[in-house]
Amino acid sequence: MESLNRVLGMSEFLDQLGELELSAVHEIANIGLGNAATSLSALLGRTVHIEVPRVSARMVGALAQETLDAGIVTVGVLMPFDGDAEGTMAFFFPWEAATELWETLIGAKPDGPCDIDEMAASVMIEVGNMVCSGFLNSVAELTNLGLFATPPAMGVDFMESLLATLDVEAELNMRVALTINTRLHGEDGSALEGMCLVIPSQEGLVRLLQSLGLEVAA
Amino acid sequence: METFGVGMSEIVVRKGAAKYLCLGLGSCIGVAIYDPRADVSGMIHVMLPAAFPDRPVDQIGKFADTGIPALLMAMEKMGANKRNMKVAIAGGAQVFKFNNTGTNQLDIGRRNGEAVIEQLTKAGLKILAKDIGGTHGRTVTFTVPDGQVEVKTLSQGVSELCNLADNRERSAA
Repeated sequence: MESLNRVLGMSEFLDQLGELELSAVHEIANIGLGNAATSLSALLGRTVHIEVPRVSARMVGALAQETLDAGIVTVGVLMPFDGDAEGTMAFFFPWEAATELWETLIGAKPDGPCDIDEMAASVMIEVGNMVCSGFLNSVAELTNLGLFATPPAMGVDFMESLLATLDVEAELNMRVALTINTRLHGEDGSALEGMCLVIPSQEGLVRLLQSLGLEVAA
Repeated sequence: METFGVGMSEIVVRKGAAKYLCLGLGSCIGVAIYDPRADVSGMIHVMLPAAFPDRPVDQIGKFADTGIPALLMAMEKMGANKRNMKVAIAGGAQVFKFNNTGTNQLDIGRRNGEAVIEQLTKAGLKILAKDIGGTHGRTVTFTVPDGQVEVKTLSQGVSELCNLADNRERSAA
């Protein structure tokens, strides 16, 4: 029993996340974000699809370094969650996509990344809230786990600075980062790029995968 | 001149000309140190204030309390002298602004700032310039031998923080 209860090192743990586990996460992400897309469509008054082309798992501490989007002005909404599995989830929109969302929702966009008023901020937080809660709710339904969203926060900065914050957050709590690349697009084909990151605690991820019938040791 | 990316938790120490790049400092802190006499420089990208009491230290440069002494020791090994070292620090922001609930998580940025300053002070080093706190991320470049430390932010663009090669101001031992 001793060995079963041993806490694995982060890299040992990641080694267990093979194709099967990641495709399970991919499937959950698809369903979860599909749900999120439905809520977002209702909010925007037009149909939005969210695709999940790629899911990857990685050690945290490297997100900021590995990003291909360094130097890109990004709007991020971060939402910690707790319950049976705890962690942090975040959604990122490149500046152009964010301004598109603002124009649709409030008919105006901020002058620039450093001029975001309370109205614009709360609208974006609401969008993030909707996407994240939509995701969490369907994951909770699928897995029978209780997952509770906590109030989100927003940041506007270069992508690397936003990701660095998540790296630190994850490091503090021994978390694994699941990067879920997403592509949002409208019916007319207009793309709205975004990235979703789910950073569950090791324990939380194990519970999640176990609830799907996959055997993973914490 | 070779550019050294100083990633999260990394320590880089060089003798002679070098350019350091600390990309995307959110709550992390970049510490740049230069001893112009010995022409030895170093940089660390600190992630957290102190090592976890219940976990082994996997990377010495991750924490202010283990990383800063290690950086200074590495520089001394290459011939630097604490008395001639000049220091600049930047970072320690809170990039995600939590809305009115006030759940300010753990405020790592502020704690990182305090821990870094404490370690540097303990080592008898004076901080020539600091740009810490706030709510914006920073990218820091540090070049030697000219000693220039620059900070880039989204709102301000690139601005010079200080020059560590300036010999007029000798920090007290």
